Amino acid sequence: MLQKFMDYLCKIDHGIVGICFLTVVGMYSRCCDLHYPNSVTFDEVHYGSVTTLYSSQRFHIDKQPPLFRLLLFNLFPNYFSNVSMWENIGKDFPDQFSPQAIRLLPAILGTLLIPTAYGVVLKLGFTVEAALLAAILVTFDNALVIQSRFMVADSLQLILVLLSIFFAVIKSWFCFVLSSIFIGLAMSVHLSSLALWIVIIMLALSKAWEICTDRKVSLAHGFGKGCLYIVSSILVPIFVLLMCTTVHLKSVNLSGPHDILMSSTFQASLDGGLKSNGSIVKYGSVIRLRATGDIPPYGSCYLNSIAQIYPLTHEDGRGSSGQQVVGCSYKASSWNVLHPTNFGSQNMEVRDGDFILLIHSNTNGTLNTHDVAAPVSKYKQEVSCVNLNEMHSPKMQTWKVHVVNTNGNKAWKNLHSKVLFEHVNTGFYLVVTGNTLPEWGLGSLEVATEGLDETGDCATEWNAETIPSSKKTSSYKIIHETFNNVVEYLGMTWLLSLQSGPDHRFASEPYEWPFGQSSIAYWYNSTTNAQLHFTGNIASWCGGILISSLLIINCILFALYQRRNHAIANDRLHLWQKSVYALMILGSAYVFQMAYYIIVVPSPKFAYQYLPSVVCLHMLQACALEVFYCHCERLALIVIFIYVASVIWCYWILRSITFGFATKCQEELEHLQLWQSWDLPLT
Amino acid sequence: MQSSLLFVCITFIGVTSRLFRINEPRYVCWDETHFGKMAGFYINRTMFACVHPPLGKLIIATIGLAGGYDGHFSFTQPGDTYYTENGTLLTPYITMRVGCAIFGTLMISAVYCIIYTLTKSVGAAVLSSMLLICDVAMVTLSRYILLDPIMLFFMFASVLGVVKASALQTRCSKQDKSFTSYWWGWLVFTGICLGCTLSVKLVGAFTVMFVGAWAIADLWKLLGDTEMVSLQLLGKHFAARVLCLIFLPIAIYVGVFYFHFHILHQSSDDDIFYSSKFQSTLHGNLLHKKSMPMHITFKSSLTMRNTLIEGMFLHSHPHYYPNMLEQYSQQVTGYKIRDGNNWWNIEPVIQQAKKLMDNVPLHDGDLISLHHMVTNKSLSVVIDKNDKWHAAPIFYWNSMVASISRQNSSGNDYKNWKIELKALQNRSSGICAVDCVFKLVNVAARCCLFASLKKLPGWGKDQYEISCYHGRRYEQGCWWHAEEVLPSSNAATTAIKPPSFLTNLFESHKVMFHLNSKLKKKYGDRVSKPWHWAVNYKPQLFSKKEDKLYLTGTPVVWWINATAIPTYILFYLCVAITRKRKYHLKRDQNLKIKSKSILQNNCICCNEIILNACFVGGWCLLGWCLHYLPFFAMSRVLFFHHYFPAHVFACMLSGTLLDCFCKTLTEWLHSYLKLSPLTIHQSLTVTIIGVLFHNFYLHSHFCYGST
Repeated sequence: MLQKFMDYLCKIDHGIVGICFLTVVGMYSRCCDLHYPNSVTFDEVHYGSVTTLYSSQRFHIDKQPPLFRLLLFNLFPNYFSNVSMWENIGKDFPDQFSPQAIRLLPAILGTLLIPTAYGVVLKLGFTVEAALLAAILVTFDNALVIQSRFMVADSLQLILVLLSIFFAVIKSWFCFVLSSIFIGLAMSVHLSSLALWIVIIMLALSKAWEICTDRKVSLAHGFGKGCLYIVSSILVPIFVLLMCTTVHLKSVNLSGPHDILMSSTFQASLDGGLKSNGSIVKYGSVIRLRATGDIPPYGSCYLNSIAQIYPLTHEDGRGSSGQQVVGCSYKASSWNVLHPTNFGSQNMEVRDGDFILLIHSNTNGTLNTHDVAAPVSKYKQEVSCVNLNEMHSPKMQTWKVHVVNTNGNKAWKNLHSKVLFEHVNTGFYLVVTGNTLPEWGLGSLEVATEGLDETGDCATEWNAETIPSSKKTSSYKIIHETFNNVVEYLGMTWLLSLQSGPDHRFASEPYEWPFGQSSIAYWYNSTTNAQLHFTGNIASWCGGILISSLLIINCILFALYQRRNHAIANDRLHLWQKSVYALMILGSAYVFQMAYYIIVVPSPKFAYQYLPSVVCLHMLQACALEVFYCHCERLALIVIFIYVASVIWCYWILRSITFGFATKCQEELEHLQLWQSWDLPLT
Repeated sequence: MQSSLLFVCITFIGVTSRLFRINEPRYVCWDETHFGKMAGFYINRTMFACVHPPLGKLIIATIGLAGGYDGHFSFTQPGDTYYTENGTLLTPYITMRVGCAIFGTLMISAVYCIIYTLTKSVGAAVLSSMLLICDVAMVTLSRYILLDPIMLFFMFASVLGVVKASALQTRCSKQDKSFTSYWWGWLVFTGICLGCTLSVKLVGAFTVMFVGAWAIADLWKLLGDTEMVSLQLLGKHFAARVLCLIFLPIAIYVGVFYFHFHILHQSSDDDIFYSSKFQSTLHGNLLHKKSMPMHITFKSSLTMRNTLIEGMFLHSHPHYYPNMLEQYSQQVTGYKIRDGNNWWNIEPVIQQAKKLMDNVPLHDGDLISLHHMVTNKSLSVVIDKNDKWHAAPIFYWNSMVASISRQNSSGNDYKNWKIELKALQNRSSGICAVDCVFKLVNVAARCCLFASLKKLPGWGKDQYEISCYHGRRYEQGCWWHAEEVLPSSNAATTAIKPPSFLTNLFESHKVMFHLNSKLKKKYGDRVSKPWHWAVNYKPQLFSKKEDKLYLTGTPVVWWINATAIPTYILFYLCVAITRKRKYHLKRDQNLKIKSKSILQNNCICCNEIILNACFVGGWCLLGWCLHYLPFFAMSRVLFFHHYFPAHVFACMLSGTLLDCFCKTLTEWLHSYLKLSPLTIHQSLTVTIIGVLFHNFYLHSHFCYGST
């Protein structure tokens, strides 16, 4: 009996045993004591408060696509019924809501990273030992551990990214489609996965090239199959991203806090959002005027006037007068469209090329511009409101309507038409300059007029939003294709992710990441002096950079050697091909990910954004270590042993700030300051 | 023979097209206002700050000097006329424009030689250079006082050099001209031109990459040639390239800067960008040849400046922070201008009574308090009643710093600052003015005096925030040095040590990159986007509006280029796939037999001309990508003229492809028509040139103006 059992044990692959053991260890480090700290920690405040908007089905938009928040809300709806729970960092969870349950999801996903990393390295053609090494590095990375222990999206993104790489490496079209689906899902969690999408597309291209140049099949057949790879790598992720966004938009169909960012037509598609009482602007209509396009700093800009006059003299001594006309980000005031001569001509449609007066509803001032420099842009004309009854004749304030997107029909359509306003007397056009007014303008944007530029372009096109008038009850909802809305939503998400935020104490620059020189404080308990910090495992992060660069050098040297026609053993050649393949996938994933953060993302940037790169780095260095083992067996074995020991040792040292153990004194924390640049002891 | 004749013709046509009506318009156009002005600065010897390295402006200044420009005309803004009202010329602008135009023409000659060397086809060379000559945009860009024609010339001269050098290397040992004087000449020429390109504009770095790629490919070819090339020879090749393509350009770049500092020594408004030490070398600056007390003492009065770029002075003025309960907390700000309110008195902290004597120099670690000279208040960290520090207005994790009345005795500890010298400085001999860089640490609050590059809102009079930083990460804002120190009666004085050349070089690069990073686009500017360029989407106005001179391409040229790039990619794929498949387009049954397929003889893809076009086109495409794609990732404001290096590569690609197309068509026509292939080919080429000329003529009013 015992003998049989032993035989059975011997038959089990030691890789399986090893990975099971590591997964258990990882599971323990990621899933134990999740209730601690029992308060909202760091980014949980963000995810929590945004997700609560689902419970009221109110429209909202965030810097990142919605998949993680959708998942959270659908799994744990009762956690997100009350906003006050997620109000600020450090606020304790109420008794009936244990954070354990909700943090378990990212923790389990984080644990799954370990076997997936193992699988990727195996599928890249490396041995079980290398795969186990990668799993060890992933298990004992303080950064990956702490980021899995809170309700943040990173571990979901990481596991999706890894699964995508895993399936992309397997040689079958079906698996490749699976990989495309996973990368689509990863992009619906976080836009930075775009960088990995490029890797997948590259992989598709290289596969297509292989098939096309394979003489075993005919060119036509190879070409068709190659195209199938390329098309699926491009279209499938887009489709997945669109589907996720559609689900999000379906579940938030009420007007909500972020309406203002979206275009007029989008707002009209939300319940309780804009209603229009007619599709065409007529003389006598009361409308709001909104500048189309994304105007910093708030994205939206409405034409507004306030019953104050411009400062009589500006700071540089120029004079001005007249009632202020400014742009502001909220729906402030409305304008009455009138015929310049025949005030009685109500209900006549306004068409492209017609003349109008714009009367400010609250103050009865008429929109006017005159040959006086605008408050900030000295080369543009000031816009003001004047009273018709004074010496001004209405002729002076006449504006000509130019509908830009006429589409054959020349009418000025509510919500849809983009309109330019030309001041008839001066020939100047109404624009938002993008400058913020000085102090007296209370942060509003400057509105001015200027001539067309040399190509006949105008900076600002306007949109009319009709205000429901109480007389007419018939209002109909404009139904738009969901597709347009989804695309607009994603476009706005992209723009938001490109907007820089205020400076942050723990923000860092990408060049500080590879060596783990930046730390982020997550939580601090002043009574026990327990602290949680995001820090990388310095040993495996720095070691990874070193080992990977050695691999690159090794590959280059080998290529040179081969070029010199030296006879090369088959197994060495095979090893080289393997490592080039691994470099191509994991190395380029690392580089693109970093390039994305260096080039695309504006500051503030945070060290945890390095995690997708670091997982690729861990797998890559495992591959590299196998290559070195093949070259110099004994020495490499010793080096690997010391390296792994030091990685685990580093993990052990840093454990007290990864898990937030209570510490007795400041000095103990200051010892953990492995880099001078870490902002460790909080007081 | 034929090619030399055509070369002369092309150069002649190029010069004529560029110099025609070069005196028009008779006023400052577009960026002439910058580069004309800077040429004037060189002639006046005035130091200025600019985003470009100096060589281009130096060349313009030299041309101007030769033409008699004395630096008095200031090129203030576009539209300023070059003539007085009674018609006398104010500045020899025509000479300067002609100089630039000649550089612009020589660039075309270089392109001709490059394509001829690569393809050995006169047709391709003529077509490529004609595409450039007949391009209205290229004409416009070459006719004004700009850096672009100069940069383009050096760019393509260096490409020519490296192409010529590797053309001299052949596999046949008798004909191989490696390491002959010709070969060395071209390689050195490449190095010099590369250095010059980089010293005109920093986009030259992309050309360095291109030439580097070419050199690597060359070495790779040699490496594979095991029969002919020994490792020793390979090493020699490698060393020659390192010497000529790496060290020589660096030497030239550094040399140009040396020359630049040598010429410029007058102070100007741009001084503020440079450090105090640098300013002390400029004539007319406050710090020039100023003698200072050797050391700062416990009774000194001084101004303190931050070491950041555009470093600001520690400043305080009699205005208060808004919304503060304690009305006596006076603002402390960073101010970039020398001002009476920048002066501070040092006083020892009482405990150190023994050091109260006048002339004891300050040392590392001494405790001092700083009193604002004008208002007589002392620098302090603001604390509230519970002894907690108050957050700063912008960097809210820092504590607020203010000047507090000296009578207010609460929180006296927070008025004490400890001086900590930066490492690597001599700690024994006391703290000196200007040279010694130190940190001011507030002992009680455990933070250091910190300057940020963020402006305070309106109440702070647009000055910069000063706060007290508790962390360790952003130390660069914490370093200060004393700038002016009031001389006391009996102290030894010393002059400021002039900085070394390398320090100046480093600093002027910091300023260049800083200025470049400030060129951000903002909403409302009609900036052009990189994708606009390749399709000639938007013209750019060069003159006053009424004269209608635009930077816009000849449509036919740009259409040809826009189609050539995707065509080439498709063409390359077809060639590469069929070659890789060994010309078997069907399924290959007998892989093992290496028989020549019948297809191979008929296959269009194994034609010598096509393979050569494929090779040359590949390099042109690489050049195009290297000079174009990086702009998509740049966050600074971009202009249409940034595309032109890539445009020249695109023209080279189209020229090569068109010629290849003509030759293939000739072969095909030859089988139908009873004409000699030469006649057919020539007439095809001439037809294309005719079309180009016609289109150029139709649009020439964009560059020459309408009569």
